[in-house]
Amino acid sequence: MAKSTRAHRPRPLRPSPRDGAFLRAFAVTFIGLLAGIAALVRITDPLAVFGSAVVPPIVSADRDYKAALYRARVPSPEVVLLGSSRVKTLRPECVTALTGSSAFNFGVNAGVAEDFLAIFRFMRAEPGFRLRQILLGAEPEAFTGEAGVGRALAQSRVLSRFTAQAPVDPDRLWSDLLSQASLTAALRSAWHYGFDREALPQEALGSDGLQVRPLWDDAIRRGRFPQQSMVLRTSRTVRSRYLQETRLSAGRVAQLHQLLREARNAGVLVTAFVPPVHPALIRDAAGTSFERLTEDLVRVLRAAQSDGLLQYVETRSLHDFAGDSTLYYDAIHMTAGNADRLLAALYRAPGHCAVQ
Amino acid sequence: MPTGCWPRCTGPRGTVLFNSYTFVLVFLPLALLGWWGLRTHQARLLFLTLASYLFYAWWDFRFVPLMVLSTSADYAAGRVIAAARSSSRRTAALILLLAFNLGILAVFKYYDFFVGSLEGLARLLGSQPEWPLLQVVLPVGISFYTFNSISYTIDVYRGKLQPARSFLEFSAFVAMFPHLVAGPIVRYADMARQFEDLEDRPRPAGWVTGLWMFGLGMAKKVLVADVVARGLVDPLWDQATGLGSGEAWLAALGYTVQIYFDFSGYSDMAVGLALLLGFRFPQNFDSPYQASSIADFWRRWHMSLSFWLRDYLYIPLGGSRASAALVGRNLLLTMFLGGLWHGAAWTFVVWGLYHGMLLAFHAALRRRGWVPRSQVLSVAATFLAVVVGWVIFRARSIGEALAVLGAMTGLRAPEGGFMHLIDSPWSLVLTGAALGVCFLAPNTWVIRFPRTRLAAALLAALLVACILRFAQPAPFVYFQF
Repeated sequence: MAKSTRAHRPRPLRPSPRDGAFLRAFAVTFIGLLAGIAALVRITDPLAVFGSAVVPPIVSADRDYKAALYRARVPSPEVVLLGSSRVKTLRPECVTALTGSSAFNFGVNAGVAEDFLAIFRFMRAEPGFRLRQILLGAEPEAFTGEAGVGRALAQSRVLSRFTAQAPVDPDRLWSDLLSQASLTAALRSAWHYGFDREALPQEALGSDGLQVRPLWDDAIRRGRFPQQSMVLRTSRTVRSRYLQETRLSAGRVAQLHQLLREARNAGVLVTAFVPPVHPALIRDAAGTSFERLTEDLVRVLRAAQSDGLLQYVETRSLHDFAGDSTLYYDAIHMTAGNADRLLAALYRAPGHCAVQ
Repeated sequence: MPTGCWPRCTGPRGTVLFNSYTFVLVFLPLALLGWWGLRTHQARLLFLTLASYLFYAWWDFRFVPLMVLSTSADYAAGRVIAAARSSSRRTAALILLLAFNLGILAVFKYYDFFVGSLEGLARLLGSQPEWPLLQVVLPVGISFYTFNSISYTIDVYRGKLQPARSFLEFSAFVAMFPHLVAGPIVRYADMARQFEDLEDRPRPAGWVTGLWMFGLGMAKKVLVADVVARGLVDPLWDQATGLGSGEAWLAALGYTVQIYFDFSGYSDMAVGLALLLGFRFPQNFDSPYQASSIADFWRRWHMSLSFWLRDYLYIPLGGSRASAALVGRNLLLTMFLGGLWHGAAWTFVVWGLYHGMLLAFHAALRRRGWVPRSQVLSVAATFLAVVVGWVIFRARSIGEALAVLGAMTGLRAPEGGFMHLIDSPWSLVLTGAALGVCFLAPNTWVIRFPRTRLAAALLAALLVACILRFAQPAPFVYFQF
């Protein structure tokens, strides 16, 4: 073992006449950089969390926008798609072709259980409510993490009124202002606004809430879309989330049950499914909680089905809906080709309204 | 042991972290303002104690009373031992105090491990016992502050240290937030004078060095350790039992980089924070991967623990002044307990024993004068031995450790095919560059930090770059101990 007593030797301090100037320069730079970054992010609001955007955000502030689109649908839709960005490419037109009912896509970015309940309550409170069916894309990430109103929902002027306001995590406030993601997005947003406006937005919403990605679809048509690298990259990102999450959130599952009860009371049928992911993600996520959490969620959905609260349709593997692994933008987002096949499977009408 | 919480390191409000917005942008400025703003000795100590309790309570307020209780017991024991007239009374007080401190550790840290292991053994022998497990959350930093306190009481018992002048001084020493949750293990003997003569105004030289240490420590943690962990180490270790030979080596070397930059980064931050408060902590890392023997490694790695084990365990056992067999026994026993200190798991026990055997082997070679003369060869052999140890340390089970070691040696050759899980070539480049720094760069303890305005601006920018990455916090590896 050690014989030295080096551990007890403190680091020598060497005073210098330049110490004062050093400390002043440090303080000015440190505070200036933080304040500058925070101001840039707050003003540009690139991720649409502050409601203060002076340039177009690089993500669509889709909660309020979709609420406005929903209100503009007269008469109001009979079938609504709920879920995260993973259901945003499911075509309401296809639902109409399959069922004869008018439909609307109310999928929202990073949608979680609280969003689904708030959206349902919003629709219920709107005049002319005639909803008959909800197609609920339920993925484990919507039911993990700490229950509570996220920033996007809290910032939604329309939907936030339909939530029980929860205190916002203080670190969340900081990370919205001072994170690498916010800064990068702010710079991108400002750059596109200043020099490359045609690049904005990369996605667009139709009047029925359907999300389209003209740039990506064009690249796919021309055979220039880097699908493989997109799949790999998103697979890694999603996978890392499942390294952190170990169980479904009891609070979020309770929100789901609340939604199902309120839907039943309103005479609305809920059809739930797990949006299928790319096989590469299933392979890469082996060893994380992905498979177990998905199983846990399916158990929750099947139990709700036994209680007469919903109808569950199995769609997790490509085989379940005759899907195609090439018809994905990335590891979690389907192109319209797979989306149509999925809808056909939900209505047990294979082959209908398939995109060629 | 991923950087995520394993086995359990979060309380109701999440983990208390130096690399969090709340700490850097709210807690630290307020703590410094309060500390330097108050004028009286007592008020400042009270402020530091309460601020440190708040820091700890941010993780889980339920364990603050445990720390107060432990502090009170150690303080009382020190007074009793110092005042006792008979040696039997002094010894009784010491034994009681040790039993109390080790009892806390036993309950919160080791009970479930021992009971679980005994249950497993009983099952092997054919019985089916159902012994109750406590399943309590491990209080963050319990091993660190318990060792701080034990060293105080033993030093008082040995007559090397006067008992603390006041409970406030002692509680401020035990709780002070820079070293509270992950060390270094600071001894009261090194701090008593500093607590008696508190600096009454900030010294610019201390602040400059403190900011450098804090900033560089933060960069080591956030820009190196976390990036390597997320991009390379965790993805590969998640597939540990299926790794091919090259992947296993990458996983092992990646973790070797991660744990050094993570823990030494934390220690640098702790030293820097202490300097901002006007205190000076001992060195905890001295470029350990440049060590030329395993004994040299332990003089450079987590020095405050190594020297604690030496002074309070190894030397009382007989140290090196004994026969080769006894020295070997002492080393094995010391490192066995050192391994167990790190965590209640067989992997830590085996890791400790492995290092004990290496130390005993090295001691035997040295007695015979068979130590290699080539510095390069010595450093390389030591580094290789340390990397093998980290595989055992990182693995979630002995089986997993054997699987990775088997793949590294080529004794078992799974197909592998997990290289695509590595985040980007950047992770590989960073791992290689970080290893280069470990071998070639001077230690932060000896660097003469530049004091120009440009250097100050660069340091501030470095810290801001770290802050921008706080949105993906990763607990320090050593928090779980």
